[in-house]
Amino acid sequence: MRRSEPATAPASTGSESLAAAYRRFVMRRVLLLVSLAAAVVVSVVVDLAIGPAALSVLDVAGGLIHPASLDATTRVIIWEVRLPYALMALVVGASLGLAGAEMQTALNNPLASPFTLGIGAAATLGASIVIVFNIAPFGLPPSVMLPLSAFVFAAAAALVVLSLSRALGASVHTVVLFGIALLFGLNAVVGLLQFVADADALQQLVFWTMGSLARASMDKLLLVAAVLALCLPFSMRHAWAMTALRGGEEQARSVGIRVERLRLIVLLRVSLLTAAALAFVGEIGFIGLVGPHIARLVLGEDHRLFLPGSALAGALLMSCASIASKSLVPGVVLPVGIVTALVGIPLFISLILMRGRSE
Amino acid sequence: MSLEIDNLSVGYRKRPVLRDISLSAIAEGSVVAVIGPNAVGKSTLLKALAGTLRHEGRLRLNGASLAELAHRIRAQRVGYLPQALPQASTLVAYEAIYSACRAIRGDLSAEHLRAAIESIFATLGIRNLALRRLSEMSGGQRQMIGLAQVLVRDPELLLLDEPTSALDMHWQLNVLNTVRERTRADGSIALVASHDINLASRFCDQLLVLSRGGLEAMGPPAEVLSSQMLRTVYGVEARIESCSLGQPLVLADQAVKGGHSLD
Repeated sequence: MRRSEPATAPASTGSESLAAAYRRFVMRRVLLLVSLAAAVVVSVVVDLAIGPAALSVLDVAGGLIHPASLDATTRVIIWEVRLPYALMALVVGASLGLAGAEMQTALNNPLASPFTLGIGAAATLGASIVIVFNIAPFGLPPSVMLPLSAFVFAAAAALVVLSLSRALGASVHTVVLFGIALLFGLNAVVGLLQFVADADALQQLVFWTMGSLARASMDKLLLVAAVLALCLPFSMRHAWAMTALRGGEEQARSVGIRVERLRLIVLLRVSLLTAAALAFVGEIGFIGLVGPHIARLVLGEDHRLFLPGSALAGALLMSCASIASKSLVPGVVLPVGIVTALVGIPLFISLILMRGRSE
Repeated sequence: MSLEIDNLSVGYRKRPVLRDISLSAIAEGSVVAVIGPNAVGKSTLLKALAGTLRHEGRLRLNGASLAELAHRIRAQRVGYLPQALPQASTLVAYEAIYSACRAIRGDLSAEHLRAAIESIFATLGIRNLALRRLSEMSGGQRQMIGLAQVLVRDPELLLLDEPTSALDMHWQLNVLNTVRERTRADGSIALVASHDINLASRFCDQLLVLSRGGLEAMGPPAEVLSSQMLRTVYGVEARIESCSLGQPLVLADQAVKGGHSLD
């Protein structure tokens, strides 16, 4: 604190109450959140317009509002072929963005993402085991077994890391180190499975690790959307506590927030979101890392806005990646997981540089 | 309002830090400075009272056992300012304070909370920081925000761990004066861990001196401070002078060689 600083409040808070000034401050951010949502809508419409059958953005927008105005072929293309694909990008991006935001706050680490602590790798291992050994207990189809196994492994990974950390009274840094060790271990097991897999299973495994929206369908989309819809209200219930946690772990603990319990609940929720998102599209990197960074830059860290903002930023990134996957090589749809990494790395570096300059 | 401590023992893993500390009732309206050299357990004592460290022994606030209070009730009645400064995140000061209150006090009306925040920013003279990001603040400014976060909850027992460590003289006096006026006005109790003995003597009613052996002394500054005590506890040669206001003033001359370890 320096006495050379103005003793009176600046013009923005001088004449009005702090509450009123803060309300205006929050309203500006709400407008930015709404703008982000609008950008997502535009992106989805553009995503729907892009494909082998040439459709204009206006045709698509009109067709979404009045499906009856479309001819039968266009209706099928928009509603049955492209919409599940575009919406899957949206829902998976939102799930990974939300999971990344919660992870970064819970672990107090801006480099955390659903892949930190090996949660993403565990989901991949769960899926790999089902693919390689063709496991189908009680006659459950692969469409059920794959996400189920991915979730069980993801949750187990989170629990293993947390239990180890709790038993040793470890700090957040140690939790992250345990997670990184687990990540390498799980990747090695997945590598071993690839080594023993037959040609057919190996192809499925490679396809999974590339991440692709091509497997999207309405029923899968509804399941991922249901998990997101289930998790988001619980995430928002913890918005105040998570905001307070950003003020410092000791400060949060001193006001009565049970930080360890909050961290456990958040990691379980992240496991669920990640497993559901990855189960049907395979590994998608960077969305969970970059989405929250964009939201933080635009909206700050009041989690009432930061959490939905991260979901929207994740959705926007994924939707843009979907557009790029269809546009980069004419006539070819690249696996979206490759595109997110290609686009994500330069975007992430530019974000870091921007932050460096602003600081 | 009173605070009683009975046979308090606290340790980290198997290393005991505080052993069988007992204090007769600390009266309402008191400001007690917790002093002593590094690593004798000043912060540990405050953390045990705040309920963030496991401990043995009985702690009573106004007759009620702190251990038996529900977690949230204890956090409302006991306000603890950790030694660590608030994190340099992109939160603005207003939302750091507002969210900390909202996270555990869903019952408070938004109107009541806004008025309390307005009042604490004005009392501490930091209104100009309300919409500034923590990441854009100096250490001292963040320390003031941490203090506001504690005071806004209006606790009965204030536990402040080196609350002025990052502040210049003006703000040190401002903070301790605010704490003293507050305890006298509402009868609350404040325990302030500090390394600044002269500042502590000026603003606190009693000094609680901790040494490696546990509780060394407790009483008004004029009674507790002596050259002998400073040599034994701190390992320094020091004189106790009397200032023009009649208050004791410690003038440290030199460290006693081998008289003090940092174990």
